[in-house]
Amino acid sequence: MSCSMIFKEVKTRRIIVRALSVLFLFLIAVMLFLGGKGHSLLIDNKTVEIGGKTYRELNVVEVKIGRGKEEEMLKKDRIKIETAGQRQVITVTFPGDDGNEKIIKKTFRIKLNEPMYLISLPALIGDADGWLVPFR
Amino acid sequence: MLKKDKDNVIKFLETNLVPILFVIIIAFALPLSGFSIRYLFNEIIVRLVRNLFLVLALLLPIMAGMGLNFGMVLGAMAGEIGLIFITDWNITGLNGLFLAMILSIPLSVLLGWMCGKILNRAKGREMVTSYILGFFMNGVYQLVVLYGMGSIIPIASDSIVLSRGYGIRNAVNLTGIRQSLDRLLPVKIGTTLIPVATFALIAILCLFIIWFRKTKLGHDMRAIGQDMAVAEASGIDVAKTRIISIIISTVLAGFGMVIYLQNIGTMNTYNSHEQVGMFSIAALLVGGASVNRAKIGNAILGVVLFHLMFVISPMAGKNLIGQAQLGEYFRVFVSYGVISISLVLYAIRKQRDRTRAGIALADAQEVPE
Repeated sequence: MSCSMIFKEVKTRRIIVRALSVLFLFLIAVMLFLGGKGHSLLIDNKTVEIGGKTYRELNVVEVKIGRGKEEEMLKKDRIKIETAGQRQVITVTFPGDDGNEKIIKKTFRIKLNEPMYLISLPALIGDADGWLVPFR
Repeated sequence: MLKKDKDNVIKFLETNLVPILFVIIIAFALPLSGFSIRYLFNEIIVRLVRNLFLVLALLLPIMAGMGLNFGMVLGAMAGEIGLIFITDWNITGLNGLFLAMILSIPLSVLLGWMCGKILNRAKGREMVTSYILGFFMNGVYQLVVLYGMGSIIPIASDSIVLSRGYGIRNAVNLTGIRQSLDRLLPVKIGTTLIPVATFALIAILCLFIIWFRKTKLGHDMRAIGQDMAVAEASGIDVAKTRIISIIISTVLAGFGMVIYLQNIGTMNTYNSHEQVGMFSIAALLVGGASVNRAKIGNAILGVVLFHLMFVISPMAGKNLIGQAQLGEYFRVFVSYGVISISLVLYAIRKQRDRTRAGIALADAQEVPE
């Protein structure tokens, strides 16, 4: 193999390695962006009406987002929780009609360009469609 | 034998005059300050975590014979721009921290390349050139951040944009990433919280520096640091190697600035980077480094001594004279003073070495009768 061919091969390999490194960094940056994008979740325990149906507030309910701290909420309470990432898990613990504790766990995705969402706990427990809406 | 011992003592004093001076100042000021050892230990841990990465960023250009890289403020500016973007995009936690670092890379590389190119045209006067370059780039940075951001560069967050609609506010709150790295793996020893993750990152940088010294590029840099003409004659691309050393230093300074600001939690948009270069260089020199010789140990010792003096001097000044402000003046005066002493000592040593070499050469050439 001639000297110029070796030189050309080394140069090509160098360009490929550099391009791959840039691409790798770019992909990591995108992943960090998506996973770290902060959102505010307003969690509401108030009576709501969705599609003509009323979902009543709960006397007491405990709510947790992801691995975060469990928050206790009383009637008409609204709290704000800061989260990061689009995929979220909400865990709601509340006393059922039979007096036993019930746990509902739901996974949901939030849009990247929406900084704030409103979660209605009575609607979530009642399995209504509009329990999660962007808050503007 | 006695003469040899005397020479060794003089050589030791010559090499370690600045750390010795600092130890004496601290030994004098420590009892006056009235601080407990536990408090000082806490403070030193915080200062190590905050500053060590930045100080370590200075080592490679010294190895390549380019002296103290005052141009590290360019990297610090790049780190700050990364932080402005992640604050605007509301990227929180470790993701935000690492994204800010990644965002700073292209800017640091560009600025480092530019700095290296200029320094190659100012061989032998690298330090003063990089110092002035820092001032110049500060003007460009202010122009971009004060007028470009929000008008040309889109910034959506009202919390960081000035009320007029463009330009970044004087203080940017970094609540989203505040101490995200420091609190990742905290280990409590007594009352002191040791941020293991940050120390691990610093340790990785130390290992990188040790490894880098052994690579082909590292050997080239050391050869250039020892004698540029000989390195050039032996086929090393001196200009390119020097540029690479400045680029790496600038990139590391950008990372260091992000680590520094995540620890503090607030960014002073127009001033944070200004003092970083000066204080990091002063800390390295306090550790016993010189313009042409610096080790990891110098950086660690320097940060400990320099910041210990920073912590105790205001209180010592207050207790001694009744004015804490005197201690404040004292520490700024000491920073500049240390750099001056080191530069003077370096010049004296260089002159003396040259004279000694001349005498040795003359002795060798003397014809025996």
